[in-house]
Amino acid sequence: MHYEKAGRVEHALLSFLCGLFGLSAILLVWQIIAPQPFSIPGITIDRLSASITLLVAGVGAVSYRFALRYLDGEPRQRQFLRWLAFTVAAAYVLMPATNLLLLFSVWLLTSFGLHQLLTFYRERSEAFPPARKKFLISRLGDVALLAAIGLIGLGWGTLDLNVFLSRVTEAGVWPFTPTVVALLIVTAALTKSAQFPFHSWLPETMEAPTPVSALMHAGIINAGGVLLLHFAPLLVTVPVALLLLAFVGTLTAMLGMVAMWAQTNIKRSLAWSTVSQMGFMMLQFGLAAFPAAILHLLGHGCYKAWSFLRTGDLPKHSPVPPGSPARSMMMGLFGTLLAIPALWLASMITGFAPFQSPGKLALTFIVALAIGQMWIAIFRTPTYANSNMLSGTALALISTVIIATFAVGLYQGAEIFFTPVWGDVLIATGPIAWAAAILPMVGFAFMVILYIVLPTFSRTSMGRAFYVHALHGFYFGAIADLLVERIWNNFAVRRVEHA
Amino acid sequence: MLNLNRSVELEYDTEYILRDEVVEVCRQIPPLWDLSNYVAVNPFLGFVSRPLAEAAREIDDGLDAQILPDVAYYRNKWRDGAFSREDLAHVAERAGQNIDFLEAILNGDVAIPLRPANEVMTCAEDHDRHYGTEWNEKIIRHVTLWCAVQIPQDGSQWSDFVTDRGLYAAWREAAKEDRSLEIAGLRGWRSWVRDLPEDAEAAIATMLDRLSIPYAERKAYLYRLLGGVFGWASYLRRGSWELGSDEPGMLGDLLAIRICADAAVPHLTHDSVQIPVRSAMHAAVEDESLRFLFQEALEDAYFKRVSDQLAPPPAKTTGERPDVQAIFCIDVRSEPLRRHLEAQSPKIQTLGFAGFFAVSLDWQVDGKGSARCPVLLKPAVNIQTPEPPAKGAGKSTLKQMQMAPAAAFTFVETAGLAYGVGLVGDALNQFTTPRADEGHMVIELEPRDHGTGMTPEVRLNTAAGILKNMGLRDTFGRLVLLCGHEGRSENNSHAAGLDCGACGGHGGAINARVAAAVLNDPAVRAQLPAQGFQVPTDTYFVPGLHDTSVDEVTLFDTDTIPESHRDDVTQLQRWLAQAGVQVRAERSMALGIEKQPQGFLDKLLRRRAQDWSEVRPEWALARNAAFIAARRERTYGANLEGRSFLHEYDWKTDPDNSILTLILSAPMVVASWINLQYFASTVDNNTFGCGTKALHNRVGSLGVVLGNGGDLRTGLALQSVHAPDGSWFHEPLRLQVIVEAPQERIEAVLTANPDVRHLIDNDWVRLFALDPESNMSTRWMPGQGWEHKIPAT
Repeated sequence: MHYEKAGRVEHALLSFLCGLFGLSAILLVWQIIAPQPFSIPGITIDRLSASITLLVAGVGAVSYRFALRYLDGEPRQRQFLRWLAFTVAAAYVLMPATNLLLLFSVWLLTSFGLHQLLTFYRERSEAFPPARKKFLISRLGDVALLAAIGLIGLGWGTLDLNVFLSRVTEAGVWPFTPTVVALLIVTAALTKSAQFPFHSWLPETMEAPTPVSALMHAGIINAGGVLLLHFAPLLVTVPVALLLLAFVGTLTAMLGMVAMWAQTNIKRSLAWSTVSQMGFMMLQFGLAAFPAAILHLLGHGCYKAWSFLRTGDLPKHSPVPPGSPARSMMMGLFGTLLAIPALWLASMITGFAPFQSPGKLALTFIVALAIGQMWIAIFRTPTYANSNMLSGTALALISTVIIATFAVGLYQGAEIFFTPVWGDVLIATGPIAWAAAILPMVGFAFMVILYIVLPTFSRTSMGRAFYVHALHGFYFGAIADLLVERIWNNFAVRRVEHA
Repeated sequence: MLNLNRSVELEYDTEYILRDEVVEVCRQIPPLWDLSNYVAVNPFLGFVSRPLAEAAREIDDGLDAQILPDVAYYRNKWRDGAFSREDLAHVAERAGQNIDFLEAILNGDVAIPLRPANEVMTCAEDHDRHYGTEWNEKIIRHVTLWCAVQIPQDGSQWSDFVTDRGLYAAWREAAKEDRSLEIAGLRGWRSWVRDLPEDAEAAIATMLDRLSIPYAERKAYLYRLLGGVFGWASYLRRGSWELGSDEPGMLGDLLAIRICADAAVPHLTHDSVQIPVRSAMHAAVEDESLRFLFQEALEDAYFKRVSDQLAPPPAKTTGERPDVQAIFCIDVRSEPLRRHLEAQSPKIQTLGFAGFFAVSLDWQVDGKGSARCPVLLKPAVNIQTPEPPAKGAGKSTLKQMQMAPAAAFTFVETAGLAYGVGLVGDALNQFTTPRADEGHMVIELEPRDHGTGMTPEVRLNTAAGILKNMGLRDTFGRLVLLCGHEGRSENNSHAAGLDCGACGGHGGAINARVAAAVLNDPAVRAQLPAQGFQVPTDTYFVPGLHDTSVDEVTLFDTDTIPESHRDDVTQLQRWLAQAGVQVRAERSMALGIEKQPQGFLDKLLRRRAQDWSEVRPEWALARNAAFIAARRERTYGANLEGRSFLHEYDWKTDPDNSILTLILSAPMVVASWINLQYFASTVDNNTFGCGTKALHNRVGSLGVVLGNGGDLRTGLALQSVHAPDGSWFHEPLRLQVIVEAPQERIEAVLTANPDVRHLIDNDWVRLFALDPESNMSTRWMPGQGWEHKIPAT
């Protein structure tokens, strides 16, 4: 074991990643000025691919720079840095790639690079079971994606995404093929973005250095979302796919959140938060709210990367005790009701139309619930808990207007900003769209009530049992472990027999 | 009540014995402090009443852990010439060993003598060994997860698990719902838990019985069980340790949980196919008593080097009044700064004293206190700041919204992009986390109704205590600098480890400021002469803080300095700045920074201290090896390489031995804790250290676990003791305590203080008497008394 300090190659790689970041920034500025998608063979540059590559390269460069010092003195630091740069580069191409074979290759390479990073500490046996689990789930996603690409090739005779999308509604292919392709794409996306029931590897992959977590949770976990963005025009025509996304997304968002509340250490808590946030993103896809989903993807990426890299900081403020359910319920209800006029006002100002589609209505409803939570939170802080009610109310009222305007304004802004990518065809209506919208509304209302009654509920023996299950993520991970162990051992045994 | 249903063929009361054994096992576990008060602890605290070599054997058998480095390390040192044949000869003679034999081992000519390992295993380990399973790890993960759950921490939405029922009862209630181990293969786990005794002690007794552990092996078995959860056990030990109690308390509960889970493995698994794996445990161990001899030889060689540097006793105390007396913490990082500061002018005198300046404070901000004194002491006075706390309402609201349903998503969408700015800013080292500005906070010294502040009487006593223990009676400079210290680092869970241990793992600003304020108090000054302290009226005390990451000293409360002393202060600041430059140049080599122009170097060091990804902002107390209690004249000008704790001590000012007693029972003990923490974290980081920072995963502000979870980790990170190239930066040497005093004086203190004597007689530190009249040093031979062997040149 000898010391390999990061050398010239490794520093050049940092410049390379910064270069990618700069390139994306230039492309984004260019696309802002001249919003005309631009294609070279296999690659499409538009506002969407410019924004997402900017995030990937940015998070990648920051994580890389972080790892330069942070892993100083780790044996094999050089290999680590090279794999890191490799993985970032592969993930970078994922969004602009519109040649399906190119898309599949970088999809595979990203996964391969990440596997190397996740098993960086070879001496830590704990790193392997989750990495294997992820490996198998990813292969499942690969098969789904490959099948979809195969169907496209057979059915439409092209491997170019843009050509396929422009012809997707044309007759001449077998019936149901678009539906099957859409479902395969959705499956691939669900495996990649840690959605139920493929989620359990994510909270268990903390056996890799912190920068890997930052990159994974901010730049790579989005790959599922990126894939769905590629196929957005197809998805809006397949309501079943949207409903599936909304269902799995809502379920994962709820599951991830309950599990997050129960965790004891910071990284696991952040990881369950990612599961939940990715669930919400999938839900937004299910609501056909693609611009909102992009906004979520970008915002979450920045937030989660920073949160992971900053896990060394000790918590500064002492935690505040939970409020009584009755009081919280009142505050939450009050805030949510007040949010309605605020959101109405905000829609007037920003031009956002909540009644345009069921999906938008659902998103607006969730913002209203969020504002209710903000009221609970403000009156839970020591400053406003028992005194200063007046200034607390003033603060809450102002924040209500600001958050409503900001949230709705950003949705509207994102929609306008990303219009040149697809035109304005992406609106889902009809009974299935309504079903997809009502699902999360009911789900999150339930979550809000659960969160409010939790301090009391968890004092009952049923509540304690609920905690035990939540702590273990409701055992989906443990069950998946068993399956993975069996499959993996089977393979391993067979490999030994062949050899 | 115990429930021993097996016939017992011993005459004495078994209940008594088991309880005794539990107490004894729990006593072997050292305490552990949480991250915001992370002070060094002697990991072998439970063993100080036994000789080191014996403890090494027991720890190896119980924890699979090493106290002493392996023979390969000594062979390397031998090859590098770190100790000579002469050193070896001394050691061999003392131990009655054959020197040729020792040399042959070091040269690799004969095989390393081994002793058989005493393999006590947990049931899960035994099972794993036969069936190739990983139950021990799974059981440990289960137990440690429940420890983390049950220690009240972040105010989450769930109510705390442990109320007044105790750890064991809470675990039992939770574990009978826990299906995870059942899914993993422990069929019937929940009904197993349901049938466990309600009482923790009864559970231990029942399990021991059910497992038929022979009486002779029980203690070893119990210790091994706790060894698997060493970190959590240490954390739980803190409560009873602070009370000075022998009751196992929460630790007994942990032991009960651990044994119940361990006993489940043989009873609930149904493995039938034997897959014997190669034992993870070594069958034989390199003989500890031999390794101990090599350690002795190595330390003899080091001691000789230190002792060669010591100056002869001064012919006559000059008595000339210095311009500045600068009092620094005994911390090893003060030594280079003192050396370079003294080099600035002969008018500067420096002294060493524990950095809390004998003011045991409970510092209260916004109604919450933190102890600013060594953990061996209890805070004596409460001091608070009247400043209103920073209003955290906004931040706290945002924090809660990140966890709340619906709000978490809206938060990410509205505020998420702003974190992009944070990412870029942090990557470019532009942002630092705000920390309490203790150098400039208003301090309220006036006594208040609720018991804060200091009464005139307390102030006088405090002032007299400070001066007495520093041996300051007649000679006072115009300026007396009281200089605490703290380290700077970003994004560092273990930042408290860089701060002042004498201030309970905090920066030393508050203590220095309170001490200076008390000593400047006119009422106090008026009464000091009556107590025998001739402080001139024109002496002024200035508080300061040594930032050890960049070696800069900041002076505080400068606005209250009288006009007459302004120039002196300006001059002092100039000297300090000059000294800082030289210290940084000296220190940068060890940090692996190549030679740089001065301005650039200063910037680089500051950048490192602000870098959120820096794992080695400074080396802190690494390489510490000696503790010298003597007049500064004896170490003046000596380059001790930042490896020595320097405590001022003049035996002539200490007629009743009270100062020496204090030094040996407080600062020396704290120094040995630090020393042994570094020692253990270097030699066996797996057990006594906290692994690589790259995998640190924080549990609230309690501590860190590695990766996915598992045991709480104690001690120092790998990066704090190992150099980037993987070699050991810290050299594991025990503390060489050198006291300048007549031998009979030191002996008298040892006789009167059995705790100190234990530490020395059991080889945990080495004690030397430095003759006040000559350059002779004499070692206290454990169990024998003063040796007359090592002449200093």
